[in-house]
Amino acid sequence: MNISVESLGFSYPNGKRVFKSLTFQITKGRVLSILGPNGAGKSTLLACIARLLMPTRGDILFDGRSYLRMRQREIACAVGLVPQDIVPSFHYSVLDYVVTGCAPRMGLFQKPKAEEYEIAWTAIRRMRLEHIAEQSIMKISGGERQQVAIARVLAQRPSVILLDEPTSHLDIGNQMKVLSMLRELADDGYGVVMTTHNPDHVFLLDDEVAVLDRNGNLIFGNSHDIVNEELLSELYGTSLRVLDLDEIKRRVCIAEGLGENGQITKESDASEEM
Amino acid sequence: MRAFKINKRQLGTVLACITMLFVLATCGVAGETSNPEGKITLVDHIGRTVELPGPAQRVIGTHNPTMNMVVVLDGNGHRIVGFGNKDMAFGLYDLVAPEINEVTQIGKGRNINMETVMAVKPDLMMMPARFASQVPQFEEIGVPCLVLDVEKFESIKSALTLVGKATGQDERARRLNDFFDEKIKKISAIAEKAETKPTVLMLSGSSMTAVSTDAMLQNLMIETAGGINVTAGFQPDELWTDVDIEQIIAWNPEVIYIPVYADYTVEDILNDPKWSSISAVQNRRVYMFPSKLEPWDYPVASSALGLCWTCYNLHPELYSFEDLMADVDEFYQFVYGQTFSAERLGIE
Amino acid sequence: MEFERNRRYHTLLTGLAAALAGFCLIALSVGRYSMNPADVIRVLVERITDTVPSDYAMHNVVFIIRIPRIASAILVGASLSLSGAVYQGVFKNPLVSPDLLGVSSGACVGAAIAILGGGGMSMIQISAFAMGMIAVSISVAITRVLRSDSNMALVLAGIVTSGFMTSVLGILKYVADPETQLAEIVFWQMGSVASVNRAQMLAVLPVFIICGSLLLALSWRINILSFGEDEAKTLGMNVPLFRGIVIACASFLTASAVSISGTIGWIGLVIPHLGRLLTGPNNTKLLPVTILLGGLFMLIVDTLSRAAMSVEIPLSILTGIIGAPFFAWLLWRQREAVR
Repeated sequence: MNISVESLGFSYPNGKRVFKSLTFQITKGRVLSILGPNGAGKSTLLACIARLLMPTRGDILFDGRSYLRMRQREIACAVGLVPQDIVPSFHYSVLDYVVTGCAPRMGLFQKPKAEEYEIAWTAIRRMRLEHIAEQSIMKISGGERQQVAIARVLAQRPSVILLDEPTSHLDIGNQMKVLSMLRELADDGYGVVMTTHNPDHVFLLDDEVAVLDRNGNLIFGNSHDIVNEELLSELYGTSLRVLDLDEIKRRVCIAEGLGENGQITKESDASEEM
Repeated sequence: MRAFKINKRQLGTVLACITMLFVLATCGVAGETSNPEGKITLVDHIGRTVELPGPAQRVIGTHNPTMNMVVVLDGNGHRIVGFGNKDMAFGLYDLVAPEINEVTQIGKGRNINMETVMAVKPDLMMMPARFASQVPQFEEIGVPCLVLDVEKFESIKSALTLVGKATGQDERARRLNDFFDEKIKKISAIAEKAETKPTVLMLSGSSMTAVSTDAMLQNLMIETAGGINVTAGFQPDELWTDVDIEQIIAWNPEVIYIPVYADYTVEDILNDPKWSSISAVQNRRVYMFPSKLEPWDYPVASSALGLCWTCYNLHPELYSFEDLMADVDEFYQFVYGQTFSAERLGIE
Repeated sequence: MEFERNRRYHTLLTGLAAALAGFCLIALSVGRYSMNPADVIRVLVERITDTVPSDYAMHNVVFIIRIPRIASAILVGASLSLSGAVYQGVFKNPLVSPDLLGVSSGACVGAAIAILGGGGMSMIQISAFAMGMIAVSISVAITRVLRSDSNMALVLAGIVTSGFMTSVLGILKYVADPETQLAEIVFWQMGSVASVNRAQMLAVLPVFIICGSLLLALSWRINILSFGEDEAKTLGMNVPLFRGIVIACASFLTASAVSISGTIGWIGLVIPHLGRLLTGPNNTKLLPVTILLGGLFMLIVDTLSRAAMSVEIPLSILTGIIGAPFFAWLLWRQREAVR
């Protein structure tokens, strides 16, 4: 399943426009990072792709079919969304939680049977969560909860997995684990889309990127081609360096440093402050 | 200047004069009240002493049974100037005392309008014991209250006597009480002779499953007339008591009475499947307690007739329909100067 | 593991059903007309084998008086508990009761109107049911006006509707005749299945069967609804439709129950909690357990109310006396979560 975003635009009911006309592709086997500052509309974009929000203009084509009129179930069979936070109200077990991922392919009155539980277990094993499968999702740690959410999306067996800021609450070790796992998922054949505001993650993943700025403009392409210092300084209003480091044999993005008296300085005073 | 001297004799005379004037003045007041044609002193049912300057001519009340005392003693309602419960008035009044329909309404129960009361200038307020707390309100505006607590024969007779005294109808009160005594005696004698005494249950007006108890007039009437109360000994200190339908089935009365003022009918009971196993329902011995013109199970003078009817209902072989109507006619002829047919009264 | 869990669950279910049946027998033997369980069984057998009853009075007491009452108690308890559990799932909040959208306050107003109009039992039942559903409709209409689909909007709308209905009830009580009508209204509010007859009970039975079955069939989907609107949508559920159906079923159930028994509180709140303690929050297991538990509990309470004391204590008072401390205990048990 290839997903093609065509001239997508979204404005809130009160008229505030988030983005005007976005066009890019989500490809199976690739990891697409959506990079942008706070408030740029990254989460809104993901919500539009999953059709939690209805776009105000444009369309998204699922293998050439418009998604505007598709049933929610069909969309759910193609796209899985891992939200930024899960706040459960009841003590469902991890297994019961993950098995709900099978819902889009089940009949209205159907209850999960051995087949569905097998799918759930496969997802749990894939995420290495067997040891907490019987525990309550309210009692596990935040990081584990996120992995459980990913397991549920795997149980959905979609073509595309969307993750909303999957690294935001994690320490550096867990961040690396998550990013590695996203790479693995893409290698397994999923189309992976994640939002982030950390430019170095883009280089770690070394794949496609869509940069969304505060004006709702988007630039799409390979990370190496698109992400440069000029772009970043416009995006974040601060001085960032993009360097190819021989010691670790990869491109990195790193802050230049703090200015005098704690002020953040810029080498060039060409761009305005955002 | 000459000192004003009063000698002892002058002082004595002056004092004597003042004293005499004083005595005369009080005597003058006392004289009015100690006039044998005037002042009436009563002790009412809650032990209060009630003093009236003369027979009450303008009586008010809100409680039907107590007001009824005045009506039967006068044979009409002319003495009544204020009433509180027009919708509860007996249908009989339309025939014998239509003037009661025109009487000023002073309010019901706890909501009495004291200004309206003052406007009709009453000289006596009659109330049941459960509203005795209102007495101070009336005393404040100078209206004497007669508090009556009527339930059984004795209290009814005593109430008749008291009201008779208060309204100057002592003679009629005495004659009515004689009638009462005579009927009680006669019916008790008949009941003695009865071979079998059926079991009887009397139900309340508001609920099919609330029953009369030993504390009530209804049980007394039934017992005196030769019936056995299924509720004998049951909650003897309560008035109408709610019971479970199963309790009624367990009692299995042979006869059931429902009041004329009931919210339901005899048919309702006969047709209710829950009641179908009860003896009284199976034998269709469910009756409406007379009369359609005024309830004979209320604590009023005509409860004597209720007693008579109960005896006729339970032992018609000993006290016939003709016997009953003779006593009924005697009562109404004396009280109102007219008689009413059995259909009118709802007697079968 | 799965097998173990299922076996434990099936044991629980069987145990509850057996307890319910057993207590039915006890409840049938209890009452002012004295009977022992052997008598009850004999009467039941006579009916099944269609023989002439040996004791007509006993037969009547069992079939016309006790069975309708017992069946009503079970129905009411099961309905209120089931709709409570379902409301808690839909609104993602274990502290929610079936009165959330104003069904109970609306039903009170309906009953009061019928009582003031001098209506009999059937009139009161119909009026209470109608007004209860009208109250729910008003709550939903308010959310339409607010142009919001969210749970929060429904909750707020429910508060508005309940408040409005309570005021209307106050007016009705004020104009009611204090000697007769007011007492009747208040007594109805306090809850009782004492005067339910067979016709009334049969009138609500279809609602219970249809709505109950529908909710049981959708019980797994209710799990998903309880994750929240967004998550449910991403799992492909038509959230407004499902939520609407589920809320409608639960409201019908509540309105039916309240229409025959008057308002009875605490059951819809406490029994689902008890069910979760026994079997976890998974609705496929919770809902059947809740139905049985609710029916059993209400049966016990009603039997106590008519047998233990000479004066019958209204049901909502008993459920409050039992339910409130139990709820406090539940909160204490989960105190870390509450903090």
